[in-house]
Amino acid sequence: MTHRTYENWIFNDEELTSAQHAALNAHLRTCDTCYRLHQRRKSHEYLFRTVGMLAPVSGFSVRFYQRLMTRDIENMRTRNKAITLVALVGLMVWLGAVMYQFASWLRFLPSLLSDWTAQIIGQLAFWEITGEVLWGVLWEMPNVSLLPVAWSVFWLLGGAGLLWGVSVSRILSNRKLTA
Amino acid sequence: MLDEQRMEEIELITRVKAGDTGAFTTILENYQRAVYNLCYRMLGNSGDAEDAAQETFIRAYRALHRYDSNRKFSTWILSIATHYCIDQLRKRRLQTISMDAVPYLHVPDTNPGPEGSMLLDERQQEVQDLLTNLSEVDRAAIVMRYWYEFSYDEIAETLGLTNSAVKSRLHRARRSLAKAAEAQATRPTPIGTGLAPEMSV
Repeated sequence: MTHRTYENWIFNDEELTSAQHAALNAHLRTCDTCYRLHQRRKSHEYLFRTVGMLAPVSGFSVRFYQRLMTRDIENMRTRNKAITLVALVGLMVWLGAVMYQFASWLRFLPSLLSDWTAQIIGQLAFWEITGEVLWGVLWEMPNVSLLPVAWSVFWLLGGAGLLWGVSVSRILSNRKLTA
Repeated sequence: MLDEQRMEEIELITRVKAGDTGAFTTILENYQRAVYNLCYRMLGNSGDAEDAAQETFIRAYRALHRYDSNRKFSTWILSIATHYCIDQLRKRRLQTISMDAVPYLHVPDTNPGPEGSMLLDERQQEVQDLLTNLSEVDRAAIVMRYWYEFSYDEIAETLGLTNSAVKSRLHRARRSLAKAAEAQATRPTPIGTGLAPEMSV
């Protein structure tokens, strides 16, 4: 029998036959290495079987339920984050679908916006120019040094225009009364 | 035929499934020591063992609806603990843990007194030193065999191995433990440490 066979017998759990047992004992008496390994196995088994069970520090159940609660809260937060993310993705998909539906209308949107912008810019430019002209007439013109005659003619024409306007309005109102 | 303990377990599990938290507390109290001990033997320190034991019970609590009542509850819960510890060991590649750095609580059957307690501590240290020589799965097999008296079939079921693989792993584990102990015993003592105090000066 080889040395390996004896080593297998030493470390296996299976019961040996009486012949095998006798052969092993005979070998252990002559082989110091196998004898020491055999003794080691026996002492380890004894140690493992007798060292006893370790127990957790008291309050294990309380710590367990605290941990379970913390874990539940963490899970809830994670779930909420996932739900929010899914909702956002859903919203984006929905918006994409809606945009697709209005694609034909949206095609005109840029030209519509540019028209409105042009209108607004035009209006602003018109009123700015008008303001500038009025400012010039009302504030700057009187400062221009013209001949006194020119000013007299200007105011005379203005007065004549005013008289003409008033007389026209009166004629019109008399006609309405007679009719 | 189911024995009384298994009947009680099945009843507790049924109550937990029905929403009775108190029944789970009973399960927790019945198995906390077994689960903690397994985790401690696997991981080697009390902090990691506590963490692993709690994680095991959380997993068991969540997976209780999947528990097959034809299976022994102890095998099932220790299987969860073993797989968790193996994962942790693989992640951390825990080589050696100094048990002086991390204190643990041992619960002897009788009060051993100060000298006996010191002896127990030394024995616990020796056990952990031996177990750290083994691979994760071999360590689990040894722990289940010697601390829980599991049969080969139960170990195979817990570790997801075949019966012959369990036999082979146990054989290999015992041999490597014996050879490691032999190697340690024959290692020469460092200079100075083996001398008596008066001679070392």
